[in-house]
Order: sequence, then structure tokens, then C-alpha cells
Amino acid sequence: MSSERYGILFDLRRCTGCQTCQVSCKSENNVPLGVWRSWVKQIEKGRFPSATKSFLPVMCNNCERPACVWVCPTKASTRRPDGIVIIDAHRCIGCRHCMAACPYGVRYINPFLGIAQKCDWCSKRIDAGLVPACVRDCPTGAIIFGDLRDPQSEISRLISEFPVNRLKVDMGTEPRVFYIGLDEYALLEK
Amino acid sequence: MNDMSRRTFLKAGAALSGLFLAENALGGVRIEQWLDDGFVALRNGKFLQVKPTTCTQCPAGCGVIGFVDHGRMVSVQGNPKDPNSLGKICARGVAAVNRVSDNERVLWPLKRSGKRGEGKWDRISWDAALQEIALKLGPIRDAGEDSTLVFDDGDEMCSGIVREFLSAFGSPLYFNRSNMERASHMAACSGTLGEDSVVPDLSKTRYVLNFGANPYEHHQYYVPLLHRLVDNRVNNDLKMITFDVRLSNTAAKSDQWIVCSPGSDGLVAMSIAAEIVRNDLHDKHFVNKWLSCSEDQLRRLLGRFTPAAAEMISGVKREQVERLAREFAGKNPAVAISGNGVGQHENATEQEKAILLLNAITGNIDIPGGLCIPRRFHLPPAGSNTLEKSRTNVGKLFSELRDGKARVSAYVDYKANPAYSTADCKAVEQILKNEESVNFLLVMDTHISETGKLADIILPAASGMESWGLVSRASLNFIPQLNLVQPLVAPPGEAREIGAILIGLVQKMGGELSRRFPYSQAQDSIVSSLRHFPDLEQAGGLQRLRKEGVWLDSRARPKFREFEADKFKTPSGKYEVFSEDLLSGQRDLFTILRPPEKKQGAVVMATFRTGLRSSRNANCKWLTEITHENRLWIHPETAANFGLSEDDRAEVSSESGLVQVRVRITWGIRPGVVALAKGFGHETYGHVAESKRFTSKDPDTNLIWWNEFKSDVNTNILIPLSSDPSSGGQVSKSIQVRLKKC
Amino acid sequence: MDINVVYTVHRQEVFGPLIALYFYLTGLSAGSFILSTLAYVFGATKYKPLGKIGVVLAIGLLVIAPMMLLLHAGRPARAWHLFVYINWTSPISWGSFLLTLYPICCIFYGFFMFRGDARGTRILGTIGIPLAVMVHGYTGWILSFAKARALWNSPLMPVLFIASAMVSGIALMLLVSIIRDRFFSEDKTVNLEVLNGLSNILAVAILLDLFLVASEVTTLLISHADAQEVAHVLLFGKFAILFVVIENIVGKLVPLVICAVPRFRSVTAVCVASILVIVGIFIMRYNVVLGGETIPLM
Ligand SMILES: Nc1nc2c(c(=O)[nH]1)N[C@H]1C(S)=C(S)[C@@H](COP(=O)(O)OP(=O)(O)OC[C@H]3O[C@@H](n4cnc5c(=O)[nH]c(N)nc54)[C@H](O)[C@@H]3O)O[C@H]1N2
Ligand SMILES: Nc1nc2c(c(=O)[nH]1)N[C@H]1C(S)=C(S)[C@@H](COP(=O)(O)OP(=O)(O)OC[C@H]3O[C@@H](n4cnc5c(=O)[nH]c(N)nc54)[C@H](O)[C@@H]3O)O[C@H]1N2
Ligand code: SF4
Ligand code: SF4
Ligand code: SF4
Ligand code: SF4
Ligand code: SF4
Ligand SMILES: [Mo]
Repeated sequence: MSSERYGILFDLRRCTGCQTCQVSCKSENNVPLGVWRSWVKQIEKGRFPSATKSFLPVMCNNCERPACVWVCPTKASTRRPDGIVIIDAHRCIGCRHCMAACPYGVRYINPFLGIAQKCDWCSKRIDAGLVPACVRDCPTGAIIFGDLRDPQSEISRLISEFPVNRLKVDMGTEPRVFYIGLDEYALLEK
Repeated sequence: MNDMSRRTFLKAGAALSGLFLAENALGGVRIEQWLDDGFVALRNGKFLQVKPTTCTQCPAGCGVIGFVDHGRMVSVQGNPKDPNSLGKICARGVAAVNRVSDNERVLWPLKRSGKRGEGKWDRISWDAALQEIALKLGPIRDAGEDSTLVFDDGDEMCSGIVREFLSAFGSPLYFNRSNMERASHMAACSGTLGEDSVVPDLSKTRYVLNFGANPYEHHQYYVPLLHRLVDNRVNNDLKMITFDVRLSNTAAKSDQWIVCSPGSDGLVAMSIAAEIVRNDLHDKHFVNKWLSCSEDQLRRLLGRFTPAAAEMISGVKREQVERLAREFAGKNPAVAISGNGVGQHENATEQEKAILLLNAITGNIDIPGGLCIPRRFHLPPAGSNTLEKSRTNVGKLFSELRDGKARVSAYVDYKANPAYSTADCKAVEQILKNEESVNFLLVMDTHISETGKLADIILPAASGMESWGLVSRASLNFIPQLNLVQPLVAPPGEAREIGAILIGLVQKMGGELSRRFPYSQAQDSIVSSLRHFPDLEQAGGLQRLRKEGVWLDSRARPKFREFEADKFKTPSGKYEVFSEDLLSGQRDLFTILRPPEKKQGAVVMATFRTGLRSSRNANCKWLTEITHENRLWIHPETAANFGLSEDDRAEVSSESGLVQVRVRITWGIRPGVVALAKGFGHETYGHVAESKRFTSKDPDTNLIWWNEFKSDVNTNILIPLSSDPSSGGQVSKSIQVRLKKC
Repeated sequence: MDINVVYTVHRQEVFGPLIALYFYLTGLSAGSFILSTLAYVFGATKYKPLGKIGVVLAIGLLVIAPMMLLLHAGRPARAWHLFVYINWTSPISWGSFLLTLYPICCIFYGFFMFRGDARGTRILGTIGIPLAVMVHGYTGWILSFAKARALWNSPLMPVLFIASAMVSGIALMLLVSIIRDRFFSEDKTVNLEVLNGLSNILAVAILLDLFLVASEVTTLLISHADAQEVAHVLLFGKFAILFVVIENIVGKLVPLVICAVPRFRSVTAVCVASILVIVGIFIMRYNVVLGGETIPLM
């Protein structure tokens, strides 16, 4: 039983919409063209001259109660003791059930491998004691990765100090990606 | 990696209890660390070679480290040892791998076999290529026509050796694009402060007035500057006001986005300055001691710039001007900055000076948190002064060529793409095609660019990750630092590094030249530059730089307001507000700062960069995947006037050309103004840049999915060739265009 | 408020037409099987002629159906993983067993039927009914477990799937038995007793199906935001023609009238009605699967 329970916090006050995280992930994880583990949605709101724009980086929430794991017929999708949801590349049959079940649309089928993939918070890097690639590269330090169980960690401090939001909590998946400064309108599609 | 280094690595690894990690000085983030002796690291369970270098994807020059697997570039990340970029990087930096491993690089020297621009090539050997170039350049030099040689250099990082070559050659026309395109900004800085640029200290300032810069998406000092700006904004509630004609990411994230009519920023700045002085909010000490003109003269100059006049011309409300004046003068330190939104107009030099003046009258020059003089090392060759002086604008040269007022015996293009990125690129293409005006065209590039297509000879150049170079970018810690560019991998095919190319060429040309340019390998020039840094020599010289990527004097502390002792480097030793004729009223500043009258039926088109895809990286698949459509930003009312709705195609025409684009209707732009980005619409370059799917060694290229969206046009087709008379700077903002639904 | 999404990535298709086809074929198979049991299990002897056609169709369709699954899977060669690494909370895991047991049961059921072993047929038919219901019902669960996709995430989904399976199954049987009687039987005449009986059942099944669809859509229409959006897509948007016109009017209401009103119930009319239903239900699968994933999640 691992004592860590990881989480990610996007401090949107810092986010400039630069999409470095999105590109960094492609590089780190060899993500093919046309599919993404993370992306930065941009939303314009309001009318000239008080129009504004906000940015919403999205990635797998590595949910506490992951819908994807629930439905995976081969148990290729599993939860690690530290809470990260991983996909066993050797076991997955590419049936896409997990893609249907995930409320966030963060999974994709790798066009070359035919298996499901998604952001796993760069679990290999974490195992090596490193932070996820996007966290490392974000030029403004807007992505904070850390242990939610450690009250001293930066992520825990920020979560208790500031109002935070998560995406689609009503789905009951207990997502573990948190946002400071999330605009409700950023969730809308049109 | 050889066995030896692996063993050392493992041993050292054991000593570090199996983890190759270190606490970063900043915020306790853990990052990969490479071992000092072995240059190896563990990544995803694999042993990789690790080398620091400097990113050449944009002028910011961030320190990066590259991971190499058996001679193949794997990835790039920020170099945590670079105190300027703080181990951070941006998307373009990450995508540098795409350029290195791109399948469409030029791999060997090519000689044109058909007519110029026909696209028929013969592969030739390096020896033959250099011989041929030597035969062209030799006579030019021998005949004393060195000034008809043009060297167009798009690089900043690896161009030390270029400058040495050129000084040895004589005094050709030298353009360095990374600086040149901010010609008006530079002219304004040197006119007022005697420096060629300024650096805002955004980590300590308490108020930012931003005129037409977009640091949230790009900037000359992008990552280093952005990190400090955002930190200060979040931690200290730094207030930032942004003037932009459209809703850039910076404007969106500022406390306030103010829209002035295009090209009126200078006028607004002057009226804010006027309000400050009118209300005696200025720094009297600085004004009296350091301005070249008297306070009375200043008041007279500012007299006409009333908030009411500003409102009439720029559309910025007078109350707004009054409020900004109070706020700006009331916060200390505060800083007013400018970007290309200001710097690329016909009156850009004066606009820039107006913005600089705001900093001067409030005493914010070269103080912590103010607008500072750049701290950087001036790298040899110092003797290239003649080159620095010759740095005018390519646009101007092309106008002269077009009008038959100039002739170029040889145009050498390195890492620039004038037939694409210069205003009126179609005209430029015609000029470069014409053997009468340009006798010989040599292009050294990683790809066959629009300019390359016209060349007589194309030399396959190394990319930044395969090159040598030494730079000293202005430090945002205000302690000068040196950054090394070193090859992480060998260039593909027969491609060569610029130093190697020039050395080979000099060997062919021989004689005097080889005496004045005595290098036998690229790093020689770096080694000789490093002799000017005894402290670094002592600390290990080039070897040390190759390990760390950066060097700075660790004992140095920033010193501010050195002008107190040394004076400004201007003729008067003071801050020279505006040129004499403007101060004395011989020429009327107010008229100059007015944006040009709009022609009947025209709309003004602003141009801008996008965060990801612009200069230097069109064929990077990860960037082009995100940004591949150049849509015309248009306000709903303007769109309605032209009968346009979302996704419609519009025909945009100007004096110089015509394009068809899809429109993007948005509330994020001023009515009556449209905006189009630069950096799109490649006609030749590579499949990724041209949005075409193809089969190559990289399976990804079969997945190019964005070819269906075709609104990929080059904005420069619409921009007439013209320049700011005070600086020669290219005009590429506020273009008058006509719109039609098609 | 003026909201404009300036950038977001496009999403891969989740299930798509192949899965719609798979659902359709299993539905037809289950429906045919159940009909074939009318005589052999429930003793409705007038439907005896349907027994053999039913079981042949059920088996035939079931051979094709899983091929769609394999075609759709990214790694079909790993299908055996489904039997080795089992996840009891996953509908697809249930499905892998159902898709094994059900055809075996069908084969034995058919075997006994052709051998004339009534007892064996009845026993296997009795076992087969719940299997047939489940083999199609589980596909409903595949969709209903997608909690963020309003159209799919409905407890009605498995029931609706079974109802529509029955509808399509009956129509198929009607069509096939008419064709058999008309062209391949000795007297070349259609068995009107079967035709009338099946038409009645079809009418009832269509009514039930319509009732379920109406409950689903009306509830979506006043439910949460995504649900409203998908209801609009079906009723007035991209899917309106397919859903309203083809699936429900042409594919259900018209055949319902033909089957329920004796005046319209000629052999040709019933034939046409069956074809309409068979096409209509395919469109229904298509609408559910593709309509359900049109609305992007983030
Ligand atoms: N991604 C990326 N980054 C880069 C580069 C790149 O090509 N791509 N290039 C580098 C180089 S060479 C340079 S020079 C810098 C330039 O960096 P910036 O100076 O930021 O360049 P631009 O985007 O050209 O112009 C800035 C803003 O001016 C606005 N603007 C246009 N006209 C007006 C006007 O009349 N008034 C006002 N107030 N605003 C106006 C535009 O909408 C735009 O948002 O970036 C460097 N960084
Ligand atoms: N409309 C409009 N036009 C503008 C501007 C604007 O704001 N609006 N801005 C102007 C400004 S500020 C600038 S700085 C210029 C930029 O203009 P340029 O400097 O001409 O930039 P690019 O068009 O990106 O062309 C750069 C060339 O360098 C090559 N290259 C890239 N990396 C390497 C490398 O590592 N090695 C070698 N050998 N070659 C390499 C690329 O293949 C490409 O052909 O554009 C100017 N043009
Ligand atoms: S890298 Fe950081 S600042 Fe840039 S988009 Fe991602 S989270 Fe935002
Ligand atoms: S976000 Fe989706 S894919 Fe990620 S753990 Fe949650 S349910 Fe699974
Ligand atoms: S695609 Fe792979 S991970 Fe997803 S549910 Fe199927 S087997 Fe599991
Ligand atoms: S944590 Fe890793 S996998 Fe997830 S988005 Fe960031 S870089 Fe990609
Ligand atoms: S800011 Fe410029 S130099 Fe720095 S990483 Fe990005 S592209 Fe490279
Ligand atoms: Mo530039």
C-alpha cells in the first residue's frame, strides 16, 4: 500500500495558453499526430470591448473512482496504489469501452499500436522520482504535481488556501486534477 | 554510449543512491540531472547522452539540454542551470526535435540546372559547390565591390563566425534579422539612451503598461521574461494594462485590455506623459538632471497631447488616459513596454520614443523594476563595427532593387527566408529571380525554402541542434551571461554547420582572406572569443561551457543606474527625448504620431504572430498540427458590413497583392480592423508546412490530418514594401486593405 | 453570454458504424432466436414453421456479428485476453461469455430441432431465451455505462435494445417466411395464419419500442444540459432526418399502421413493412451509437 496519493493542480492564474504542456507531452510520450493526452482549450467570452479569453488545460484526471477501470474487460486499465490509472500495453485489446466510459474524453486509440492510451501523469518519470514532463516544462509554473496526502506539499497547500474546482465532479469519478481560477464557461462546448 | 561511460555512470549512480536527481533551487521541483563527467542520464529506463546547448528556435536563447540516443535526438528540455530561463522552455523549444529529425531536410549541395525558381537541381559535391561559390565571391572582393555582397542572416546564436567572416571579407551589407526587424525599436533606444535595446525588469516592477507586445505568446526574451512576469502577477498582484488591437493572450490575461486605433499607441503614450507632467506627477529630479531638454521644453512638446485629442484620434477615452497617468506615475517602480504592435509602423521610431519617454519622466530608467539597459557581454569580433552600422532594412534594399537603384552581385542567405517573410514577398521573389538585379543567389538553409527555391546554389545547413555558437542574450537577472550552442547530433546527410561551410569557403578562396580568417574548425572561433573571459578560462573554458551550457560570474551582483557615473552613451551624455527638429518644432511630432488617414472603403489590417507557429519552425509537426489555419479576425459588425459570416471566404486585397482567407468572427477585435497572422502559407518548404500528407520514414507524416482546412495564406503578400524613414524598419502593421466576400 | 470555443482538439470516434452494425446483427439474431422458440418452448404450434428458419438465422447472424467486433478492435489477435483476464464489472467481459455460450446453445438447440428431439429442443430453447435476451441486453449496458454521454447513459438502454431486437427479429422472420412460402414451398402460398400472428406481435413490439423511445427522448429533452443538447441533435439537428423521419416514421409508424390495421395487411404490404422495419432498426442503432457520441465531452 503506497502512502502517496498524487494529484495535479492547474493554477490558471498562471496559465498563458501557450500549449507547451500539450507539445511537451507529445515529445515525452511519443504521441502520434491527431491524438492527444492533454490539450489546452481556448474559450472567448463576452463582447467587445470587454471580451476576454480563458484557457483550460485538460488531461486525464487519474480518478479516484475511474469509470474506465470499471468497464475495461481485460483489466488492462488498472489503478496503481498511488492512485494513477495506467494501461497495460500488452494486455489492452483496443475495444474502446474505456473511451466510451470516461466522462472526460481523454483516452484515444494509438493509430499505430491499436491500443488505448492516455495521460498517466508520466508514471515512469514519477517512478524515477521525476515530475511529469508537462509540469517540468510549463514556462510559468502553472502545473503543480504532488502528493495530496502530504499536508506540506505545495499542491496540498494551494488546494487548501485557494478555492479550487474540478471538472465534472457530478460524474462521481472523484477526479484528481484541480484548478484554481476555473471559469465555468470554459466547460461549455459552444 | 560506450561501455566506459556507462560504467562510470552506474558507479556515480550508486553513489547517489540510485537516483539522479537534484533539488532545483526554485520551488523544490525535482528535475533530471546529468552527471558532470559522463554526460549521461536515465530517461524512461534508457541510458541517454545528455548535452546542454542553447535553443535557436527564437531570439530568446533559452538554455536547454538535449537527450540523445545513439546519435538520434530524442528530446529537449530546459537547462536548469540557466539562471535566465530557469530550466523552463516553450512549445517551440520542445519541437526543435522535429526540425532535427525532419525527413525533408536538404541533405547535399544542390546546383540549379534549369532557370531560377524552376525547381530543377543537380546534386553536386561540397568541393564543387564551394569552388563555384569561391569563383563568384572572389572577384567581387578583388574588384573592391564588397559592398554589393549582401549577407542576410536570420540567426543570432550561431552568427559570430559569420560576422568574423564578413569583417575579413570587407564591408558587405549585413542584415541580422533577429535585430533588424526591430529596427525602429533599436533606433529609438539608441537615439534616446545610446543603447541598442532595453529590458524591462518585470520581476520587480509594480505596474506594467504594455503597448503592442504579446509576452504571453512570444517575445524577444520569451520564456525568461514570461516566467518572471507571471510570477510577479500572481504573487504580488502586479497590475498590467495592455494596448492591442486584438484580444491577444496577453490582452486577455491583463487587468485591462485597451483598444486604440492601429498605430496610435505613440500618441496615447504621449498624452499619458502629458497628463503626468501637467499634474506634476513626474520625477523632477530625473527630468531636470538627465533629460537632454529642459522641463519647459518638455512641457511645450507635450502641450498638444491632451486627453481629448488622444480620445479623438485613438478612441481611448480621456478618463482612461487621465487614470492611467495617475496610476503609472503613482506606482513605483513601473514600466512601459513596447512590442512589434508599435515597432512596425511608418512612424515607429517616434512611437517607440514616446513610450520610452513615459519611463524616463517617471524616473524608471535602469532601476530595479524599471526599464533597464541590457546586461550582456559584447562578444568579439569587436572590429565588426562597420557591420553593425550597415544593418539597415532588407525591405529598403528590395525597394531599391525593384526601382533599379541598386544591384547585388551576390545575395547570401543564411537561416532567413526573404522571399517569404519580407513584405511584398511576391515582389521580392521576382527580384530574386532576376539575374540582372541579383547576380548570384546562395542559400544556406535546413530546408528548401521559398528563397531556396530561387537559389543558384543551396547548401544544406545544420540546424541549431547541430551547430556551434556563442551568445550573450540580455540577462533578466541583470548579470551578463554566456550561452553556448553546441552540436548535440551530427547534421543529417552531407549537411554542414555554418562555421564549417565558411571555413571551407575561405580555404577555397585562399590568399588574404585565409590570413584574416584563420580558423580550421568551427569551435576555434569560439575558443578565440573565450579568451576575453579570463574568469571562465580559469573555470575550465570551453570544456566547462560544454558541460554546463551557460556561464556567468557567480560573484557578480546587478548594478543599476550606472549612467549616474558613466552618463548615457548619447552625444549629450543625457537621455535624448526626441531629435532636435522635433523638439524645436521644425517638424511636428503630433502630426507624425497620427496614424495615416484611412482610405475610402479600406479597412486596416493588423498583423501578429501566433504563439506556436512563426519564424523558423514551419515544418515542426507538433506546432503545425496545432496552428495551421490563418483566419482573418473580424468583428461581427465589420463582418456584417461586408456580408460575411463565420467560415465564409473573403478576398483581401491591398496595393501589393490579394489573398483568399476564411474569416473568424470574434468579439476580440476592434470594429473596422481586421487581423491576419504571419508565419503561414508556405508554398514550398516541406509537406508539414504545406499541410500535405505523405509517406516518409516518420510514420506520423501519414497522419497529417489538417489538410482539409485550407486557409493557409502568407500575409506578407498583402504588405507593400515600405519602411520607417527614421530607422529603415519594415512596416508590417496597419496595412490598408479591401475586403470582399467570395 | 457570447461564448466561442476558439481551440480544442478533435476527438477520435469511439464506437462508430461498425459497432452499430454489430449491435444490429446481435439484435436480429436474438430476435430470431426468441421467435423460433414460440412453438418449441411456448407451444404456440402455429409458429412451428418459424422454428427452423429462426435458428438458422440466429446462428448465421451470430457468426457475422462478432466479426464486426474484431474488425473494430485495435488488437483483434488479442481477443483471447477476454477469457483470461476477466473483469466482472465490465459489460464486454459479460459479453465475451454470452457470445460463447449463446451460439453453442443455439447450435445444440438447432441440432435437436432438426433431429426432431422435442425435449432436447425445449430444454435448450429454455436455456437459450435468457441467453438471447442477455446477449443483446449486454450491448445496451455497454452504452449505458458511459456516464457522461446522455443518450447512452440511461437505464432504459438495455430494455430498449431488447425491444428493438424483437422488432427487427420479428420483421426479419416475417420477411423470410413470406419469401420461403412464396418461392420455395410446395404450394407457393403464404401461410396467412403465421403472417397475421406475426403482424400482431410486430405491432405490439413496435408500440413498446416507440413507447420506450418516447420516454427516453422526452426525458432527455428536459434533463441536464448535455441531455437537452443530444435530444436537440436527434429531434432537430444533425440526426433529425435519420431519427425522426427514417427511424421512427418510416421505420416504425408506417409498419405499425400496416400491421395493426387489418385493412392494410396484404402480403405485399406486410412485406414492405418488414423491410422498412429492418432498415429502420439499423438506422436506430446508427442513431444511438453515432448520435450518442456527437457531443464532445470536454
Ligand atoms: N512564437 C513566436 N515567437 C517569437 C517569434 C515568432 O516568430 N514566433 N519571433 C520573435 C521575434 S523575431 C520577434 S521580433 C518577437 C516579436 O514579438 P511581438 O512584439 O509580441 O510580435 P507581434 O505578434 O508581431 O506583435 C505584437 C502584438 O501587436 C498587436 N498589434 C498589431 N498592430 C497593433 C497596433 O497598432 N497597436 C497595438 N497596440 N498593437 C498592435 C498584434 O495584435 C500582436 O498581438 O517575437 C519573438 N518570438
Ligand atoms: N507580416 C509580417 N511579416 C513579418 C513580421 C511581422 O510581424 N508581420 N515580422 C518580421 C520579423 S520581426 C522578423 S524577425 C522576420 C523573420 O523573418 P525570417 O528570419 O526570414 O524568418 P522565417 O521566415 O521563419 O525564416 C527563417 C528561415 O530559417 C531557416 N532555419 C530555421 N532554423 C534553422 C537552423 O537551425 N539553421 C539554418 N541554417 N536555417 C534554419 C528556416 O528553414 C527558414 O527558412 O519576419 C518579418 N516579417
Ligand atoms: S504550459 Fe503551462 S502556461 Fe502553457 S498552456 Fe500549459 S499550463 Fe498553461
Ligand atoms: S479521467 Fe477518464 S481515463 Fe482518466 S481515470 Fe478518470 S475516467 Fe479514467
Ligand atoms: S481499449 Fe484497452 S484499456 Fe480500454 S477498455 Fe478495452 S482493453 Fe481496456
Ligand atoms: S503528465 Fe505526462 S502524460 Fe500527462 S499530460 Fe503531462 S506530459 Fe502528458
Ligand atoms: S522562448 Fe525561444 S529560445 Fe526559449 S525555448 Fe522558446 S523558442 Fe526556444
Ligand atoms: Mo523579429
